[in-house]
Amino acid sequence: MRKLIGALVLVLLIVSVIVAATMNGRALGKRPLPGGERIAVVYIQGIITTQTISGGPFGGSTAGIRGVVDALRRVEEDPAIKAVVLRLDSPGGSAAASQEVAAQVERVKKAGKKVVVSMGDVAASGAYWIAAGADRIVADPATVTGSIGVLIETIQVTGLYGKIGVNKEVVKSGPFKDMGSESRPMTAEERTILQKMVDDIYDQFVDRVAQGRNMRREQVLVLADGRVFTGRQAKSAGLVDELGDFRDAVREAGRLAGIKGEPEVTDLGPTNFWDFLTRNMTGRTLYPADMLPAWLLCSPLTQR
Amino acid sequence: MVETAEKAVKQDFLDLVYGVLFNSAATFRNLADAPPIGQAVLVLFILTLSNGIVSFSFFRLTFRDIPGVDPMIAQVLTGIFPVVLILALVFTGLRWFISGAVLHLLAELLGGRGTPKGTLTVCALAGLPGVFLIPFELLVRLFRVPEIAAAVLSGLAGVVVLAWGAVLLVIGLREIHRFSSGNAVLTIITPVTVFIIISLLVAASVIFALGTFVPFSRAL
Repeated sequence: MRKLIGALVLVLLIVSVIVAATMNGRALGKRPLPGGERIAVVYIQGIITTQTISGGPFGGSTAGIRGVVDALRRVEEDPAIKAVVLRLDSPGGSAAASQEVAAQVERVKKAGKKVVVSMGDVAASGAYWIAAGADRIVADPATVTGSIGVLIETIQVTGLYGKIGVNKEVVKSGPFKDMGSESRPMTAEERTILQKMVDDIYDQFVDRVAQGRNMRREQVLVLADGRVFTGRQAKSAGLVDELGDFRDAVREAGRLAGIKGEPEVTDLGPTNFWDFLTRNMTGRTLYPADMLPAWLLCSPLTQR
Repeated sequence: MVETAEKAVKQDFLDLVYGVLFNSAATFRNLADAPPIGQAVLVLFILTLSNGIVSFSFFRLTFRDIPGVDPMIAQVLTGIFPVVLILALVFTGLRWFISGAVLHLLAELLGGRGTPKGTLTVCALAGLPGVFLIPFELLVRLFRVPEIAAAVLSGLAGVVVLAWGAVLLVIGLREIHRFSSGNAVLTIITPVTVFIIISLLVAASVIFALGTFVPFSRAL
């Protein structure tokens, strides 16, 4: 009997270690946020691209969307989060990156969560693409928004190359392989191809705004000539629902989610490694509940 | 009679695990003459390795929760894991050896008659209640207990295990060194008290030294 109990203790330990080491994050990793019903805040700042351009673990100024999509997925999955405020401060960016965030916004809405956009200094072009799908858009009266349109820019420096004696040779598999090259003028055919691309993306943008804002396509087309609006102008045009600041947006999210009183707010970032460390060291604990006691008796690592 | 019978029985590893956890006084008394230091080292090794693997797994999953953290960091963490594990084993061994040496010295000063091997064996085996923390932590995770509640539960479990370990240490030292429970408690409390006093003195002197840099303190 003694041996059996001793063996059971060891088997329990071994099974626990194997389970902990092999189970994925879906089963083990994500805990619901503490407390009751919450509102999450997710920030989209800088140029919207699929990758963060610089900074690495030390942070960056572009809105690489991976962190934003991660944060929105957390919103989608966490039952404690009832609504999200997307704080936009971006002049736009790539259409594909904006579409990826917009798709995740739709998933959040499908999960029954409310999405409120709060516009900061600028929320134009690709940022408006994202905003258009929100349940409510709140902007400051002087926010710069709109810029519904698409552009492809190329640069042509043949004159400069000639002056400095650079002659670029290109070997290509097809006539359009170096389309947009900086070393020669664009041909009429290339311009047509690029224009069709721009038109196609523009159509997608207009459709997104019409659908998201519940407007007729013709109405959107009137506004979608690429111009920017102030927040107040945008409200008159139907591109924004309310004028107000970030706090108003949070309250609106709470109201839409049916949360009574001042809602609890959770900042979901995106953040970087050092933010995470400093926040955890100064706020909660460096290693939440996961790390503390397991080392207690037999490891020096708890003696920090 | 029971004690004599137990002394005659040579305990294997599973007996030792059961005995230390659930019949500690008799078990430590039984191993006083020939402390199974090899088995004690095995316990230390298993506990450190298990804790290392589980803690790392949870830590890595915590990283996955952080929106936007560079995947490179997760890769780097995975890459350095074996090194961390080896360091943990080395430091655990060192800590075990040093704490064993200190406790043995104090036990001898208080009249203990045990061997250093016995003290080291007790020090290692007293960590055995830690085996229950791993399944406990796992259950807390699996049931997705909210963060604050999980921290409280884990903290409580940690305190229980710490207290259990301290009790085992007292019983073990008492049986190995054949002195009173009071002396065993004193053996454990003395280094902790000294450490706390030194820490307070250092903290006070640091605060005092920093105070001289505050401009208005000169005026006062």
